[in-house]
Order: sequence, then C-alpha cells, then structure tokens
Amino acid sequence: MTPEEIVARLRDAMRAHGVGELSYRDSHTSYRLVLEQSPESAKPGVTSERPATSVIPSPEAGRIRLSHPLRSRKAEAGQVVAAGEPIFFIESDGRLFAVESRTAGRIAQLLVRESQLVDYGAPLILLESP
Amino acid sequence: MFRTVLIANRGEVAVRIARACRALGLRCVAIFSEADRRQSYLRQFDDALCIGPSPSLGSYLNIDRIIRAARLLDADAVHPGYGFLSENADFAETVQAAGVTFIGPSAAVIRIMGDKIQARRTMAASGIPCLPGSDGALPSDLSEAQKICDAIGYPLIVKAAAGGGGKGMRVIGAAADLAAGIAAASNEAERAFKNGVLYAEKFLENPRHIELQVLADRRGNVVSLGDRDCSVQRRHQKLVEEAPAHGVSRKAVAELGRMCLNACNTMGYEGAGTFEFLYENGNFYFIEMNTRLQVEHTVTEEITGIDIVAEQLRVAAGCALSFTQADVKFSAHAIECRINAEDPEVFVPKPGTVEVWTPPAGIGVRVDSHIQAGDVISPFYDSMLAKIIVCGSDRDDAIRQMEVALSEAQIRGVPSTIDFHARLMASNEFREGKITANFLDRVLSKKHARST
Repeated sequence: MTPEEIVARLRDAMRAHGVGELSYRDSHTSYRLVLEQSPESAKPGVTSERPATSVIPSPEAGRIRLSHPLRSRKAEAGQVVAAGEPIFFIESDGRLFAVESRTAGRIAQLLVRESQLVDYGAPLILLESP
Repeated sequence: MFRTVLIANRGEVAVRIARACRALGLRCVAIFSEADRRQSYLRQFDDALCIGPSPSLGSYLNIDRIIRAARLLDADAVHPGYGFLSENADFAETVQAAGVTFIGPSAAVIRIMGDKIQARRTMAASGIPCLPGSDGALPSDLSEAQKICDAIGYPLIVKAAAGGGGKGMRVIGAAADLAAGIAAASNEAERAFKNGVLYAEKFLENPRHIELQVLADRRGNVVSLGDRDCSVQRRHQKLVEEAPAHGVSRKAVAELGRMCLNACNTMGYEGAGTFEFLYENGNFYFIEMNTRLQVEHTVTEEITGIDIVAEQLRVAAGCALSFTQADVKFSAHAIECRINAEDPEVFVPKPGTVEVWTPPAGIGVRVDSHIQAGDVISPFYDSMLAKIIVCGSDRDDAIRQMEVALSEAQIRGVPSTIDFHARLMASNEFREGKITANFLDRVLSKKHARST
C-alpha cells in the first residue's frame, strides 16, 4: 500500500467509527490525522445518531495501572464512567495520578495496556459521550 | 561507570551529550516536551519520554517531572546540559537525594557561585583579580565617598543601588568630576527609584570577554584547558567564540590558570567549569564562574583534542581524569559561530519550519546541530540551529576556513545568522582582533538610531 492508500483507509475507518482525530507517536515516528467535518456528517440527522468521541490524554508520563484498590473494577471498553471519575491510574516513581474523564460517557476503546510506559499527553482512552 | 544517563535538556546540547555517552558505551535517554515531540533528534537516544507541555516550566524546568522520568527510564545519572536547570543548586540537590548522580559540581558549590557577592569573595580569597568596587553602598559623606572612589581608580561608574535601565548612572572620568557626578546620579536615582543610594565600580570602556576552562575530578586532579575569547556578543548573548584568545600573553593566561586551579582546589570543585573575566589593558577582572558545560566548549576541544563531555561523565562516576596537565597541548586556532534562527538585522528569533539545511563539511570543520530538514523551530526555546566550528593552523587560517564553511552552509525556511557571520568574518574589526564586548551593541544602536 502507498502512504496515500493507508491514509485513505484510516480515514474511512475513522468515519465508520466516528473518530475525529487519530495520533500516534513513538521515538521514531509520529503522525496525526484529523477528520474534517464533511458536509454530509454535518447534517443534524446524521450527527445526532452518532455519539461524540473524544480522546483522554495522559496527565503525566508513567506506567499504566488499569486496576487499583481505589477502584472496584478494572477499566475496560464498554464501561460507563461518570464525569470526574478516576478511570485508571498512571504510576510514576511511586506516585499515582488519576486518569479522569471530564465528561460522563462510555469507554469506546482503551488505547493502552497494563504496565505500558506512556508519554505525557499520550492518548489513553477513546470516550463516547452521549 | 553509569549504565544509563538521562539528558535533562533538549536540542543541540542533548545531541552532544548523547554522542559522548555512545563513545563511552553508555545507554542514554532523554526527556522532551510536547513542542519537541516531532523533532528528528529524538531518534539519537536509546529511549525518550515526553514529560510535559511546551512551556519550559512544565517540562525542561520541572524538577519533579524530570526526577520521575529518571526513575521511569532507569537512569543512574543526570546530565543537565547548559541553560535550563544546569546551574540550579536545588535541582542538583534533588537529583542526588533521589539516589541519582548529578553530573556537575556539588549543590553547595553551585549555590556559592550563583551568589555574585559570595563568588567574588571566594575568588578574591584565591588571589583571582576582581573588578574593584565599593563592595556596598557609597557613604553619603562626600569625603568618605571620595576616599573609596580614589582607591577604585578612574574612570569609574556610579550606579543606583535600587536601579536599573541606565537611570541613576554616571561614568566619572577623573576625581575632579566626582562630586558633580555623584550629585547628578543620586538626584536622578532619587527621582526614579525614590532611593538615592549609589555604589561604585571600576568602569571598563572597551573590555574583552575572556574565559578559562577547567576540569576537575574527585581525586584532587584539576587541569586548565586554556582560554577562550567570547567578545562577539549582543546583549550578553555570545555569537562567536574562539580559542585561544588572540594577543593575550600566554604567560598571563598560564598564571591566571594556576589561580583558577587553586580556587577549584579550595572549593572542592568537580567537573567542568568556566571562570569568566573582563579583560582590558592587559588586566583580567573576574565576573562569574559557570558551574556547567558551556556552548563554546567545542573550540577548546578542537585545540586540545580533549572530549570535555566524556571527561564530565568520567569524573561524575568517580573516575580520575583521563589525562594530566602535562598532557594538555594547545595547537591551532578554533572559531565557533552560533547559527540562530533569527532575523539577521535585529537578532529577533523567528520560529518556523526548516525546509533545507545543508551543513558545511571538510577538513577542520565540525558542525554540532540537532536540526534536519522538516524540523520545527518553536517559539518556546532558544533559536540556535547549529554551531559551526573550524580549526586552522592560526587565527587567519581559521577565519579563512570559517568563510568557506559559511559559504557552504545553507538554511531555507527560517531566517538565519549565517550572512551576519560571513560579514563579520570579512570585517576589519574582526580580522584585526579589535572586537570588544560592547562592539555589536554599539553598532546596532547606531543602526537603530539611523533607521528611526
């Protein structure tokens, strides 16, 4: 596949899943795809059926701790979260930083795995808000 | 030796330190901010972690986040580079307290050298010449003030103790002008700052900036790596540096070096350090000591063949310096030009994307840079793109080499100071070695006066 074809496929997948922005980075590469609102999806009838998706970025650099005594269940896709609820934690040199959602919603996708070392600002969760 | 060194810095110096780590076979990791996320130089580290937002306070100046990054990346030493936290005693202390080695002198030494009065007293105690001054406020009694000023010598400058911005300041050329000068400056200070207190220091009309590089290990070995001239500067920002300083007695430099080594021994200094002096009419006057690696360490490396950063790493690990004073041989003449992404007329940084970057090359040419085409020069940090360093058999040869190197260098996408340096190299003032520390500011203020 040429880079153009890869971008076209990613764009189609983003449209299909209602993802507005996709960014990826490691120490060698980084890219960011932002879906411009097409005239079609701007129609009120279409957008109202699809929940808005947002990305929750990491508040600190550290390791992902999906389960923690402060939270009864392990974070998973499909869970409903309240505004301000800690979803999971970032552990950094013995300290825990809560990853919270500013709004109520449903976890559409976890973008990280247990113990993964993440950057400050790394995308952690795709959240669907009603 | 260390296993992993964390570089608590960015850009050119981060790349320079990574190079020394690789030469010594050490793993090297780095931190970066969101603004640097896409910079090509991040590839040169074994690992790198984004620790905070673009403004330095949340990233490159954030002690807490840097210490946590050191732990997350398994670093057992931290190199602070230059700028940012490199001369922050609290940082050095916090790093050590976290069980990680700070690559540099002790927090106590950094703290003393950071306090101008304490630093001056430490140096004076080691016999290092300092700029004569009133060492505090001038007494309001004129005959008392006259005694102090006569001892300092003329010309001298009286300055408002509470002041700044050139107000309440008078240069006094001779003892006869003292009473009138003090009255005028004091009145002006009283009006501007509601405080007429003045202090006095010797006024140097055309000083050069000359500095001395030292390296010390924990075992009592201290060596002098000679002098550098950094007189080409604008508002105290150095633009060109060379080694050795032309036209300065080698005997005087050697003698000054011995005094600096004494001071290092007295302080228990460790690592790389620079003693900065003003130089006029054959006399040196201590200004300050930089307790870190300096941007212009390269010209010293070129004429001595010593890798200063590698030696910093060695001594921080408790090893002895890999050479002695007797091994230090000075050959040739080196010049460094700092290439900044700045408007070449007014020296104002201009952020943007580098579209083309063709560094010069060839015998005796060294380019230290973190830039590749496509990199973004962000408005958050200093705008240095590269350092071009040349080494020639003598000063004239080095100038010729630099002219060739500058003619090869090409940058597109952002403005640069390449043309400024080319004009400077061609100027009689530079070629004849007549540039003093206030030369550029004078030229630029004249230009400014003409254009307004």
